[in-house]
Amino acid sequence: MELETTQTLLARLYTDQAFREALIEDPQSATRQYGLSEEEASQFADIASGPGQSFAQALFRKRFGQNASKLPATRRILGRQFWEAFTKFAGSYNPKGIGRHLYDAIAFSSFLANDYRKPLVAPEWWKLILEYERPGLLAGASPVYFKLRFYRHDILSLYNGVGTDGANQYTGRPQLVVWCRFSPGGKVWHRHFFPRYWPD
Amino acid sequence: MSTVPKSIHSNLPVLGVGMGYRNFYRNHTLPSAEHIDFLEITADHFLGDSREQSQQLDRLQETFTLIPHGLNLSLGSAEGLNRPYLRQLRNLVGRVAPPWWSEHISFTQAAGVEIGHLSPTPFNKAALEKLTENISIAQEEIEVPLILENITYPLRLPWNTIPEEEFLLQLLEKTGCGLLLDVTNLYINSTTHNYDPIALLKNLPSDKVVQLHFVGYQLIEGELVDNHSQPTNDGIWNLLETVLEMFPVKGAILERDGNFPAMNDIIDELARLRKIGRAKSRWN
Repeated sequence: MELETTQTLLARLYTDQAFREALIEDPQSATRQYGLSEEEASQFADIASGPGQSFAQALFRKRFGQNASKLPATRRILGRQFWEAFTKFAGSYNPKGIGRHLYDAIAFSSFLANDYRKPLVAPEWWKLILEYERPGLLAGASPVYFKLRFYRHDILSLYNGVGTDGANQYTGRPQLVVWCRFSPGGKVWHRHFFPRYWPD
Repeated sequence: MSTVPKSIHSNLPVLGVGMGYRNFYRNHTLPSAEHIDFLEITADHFLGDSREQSQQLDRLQETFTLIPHGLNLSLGSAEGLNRPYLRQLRNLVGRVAPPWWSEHISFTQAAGVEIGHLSPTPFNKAALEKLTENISIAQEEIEVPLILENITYPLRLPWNTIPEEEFLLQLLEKTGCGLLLDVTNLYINSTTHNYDPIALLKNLPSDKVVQLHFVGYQLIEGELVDNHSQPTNDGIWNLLETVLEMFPVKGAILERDGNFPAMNDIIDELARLRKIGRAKSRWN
């Protein structure tokens, strides 16, 4: 077996849960395109069901941790559902390059907002929090960036309060939030503007 | 053909004991400079176009020797190493002018899939040839001495035909590279796969062990995990002492990546290793 084939199959079984399961289920079918002998296919199945599985799980946890750190408030609101959604998402996207953790979080946030079909048990404003975390990531991945968003109520207090013991309600003054990056490699700016006077 | 002479390592400067530079300690590193001999920088954190990163690099370089440590060159890749990454590394190495730079004996990508972590390559002839070929390409591009790090391998691949110590020896001899001996990884591998780390060490050419890595492992469900998130364990301190007795290393880096303690705890670990090395006449 060529080294290239060995590494291709290892890379797939480390990163693709569906492939790993197919390999364990029927090694010969799962590896047919690579022209392996029965013994070679079995070797990969043994790896997939044993130490390869542990390694793959460690890689998954590392990747999940990076996403959780980039969408911390969304993670706090969704709790276990964030993990379940990420499990559904992970096999469909392979992040690449130096900024891969950022691209991964952007792709996952898009999946959560648009493609995750399972109903989520969460406050009705949970998507506002996700959409509040997203522009910062997009700005970090873009050479220049500008986004202006109007919120009917105090999104900053809501964001800061997520996961704390305080009552998490979307109330209070409206806000204008701006995210921008003026030049490639420049700092990402993020500002909130409130009306000076607002009745309680 | 590389222009780096094969016996260069004994002439490399002695740097002492330092730490991997981490964002968590960005406000503490410069004020603690008297306790840190040099810094290892994770190359990926400084390859982008961020002006903030560039300014940070300038400030660090005023005080410390910086050793770039690559993560994604994928020197073990059968399809060839990561060329765009190599070019970025070349620019970074050119900028910080280190006495050496480092990467891993591993592969991180194959057939368009990025694994996201350092993955072990088999210890066999094909892997040795491919590593040698890729390293030669890297050495043509970056003429500063390259040292290679041993990684952990949770699984013994069934295609290993060369003992690990022999594989390392042949790799170092064929490429002329030095070794970044990760003592923690050696400890974990030898414990996981039940072999004597000293036997491996005895096979290594004394002048090629240039730098060390050390940090604590975590025990999770009976498994030693190299998540670089713990204080250095007793077993690793003992192995470090043996390594410093055996090899005239030029430097050692504490490679803490998570569960960050107070800066004083880091300084204490650096001081402890400095004291051990001083007793073995490795540095002042």
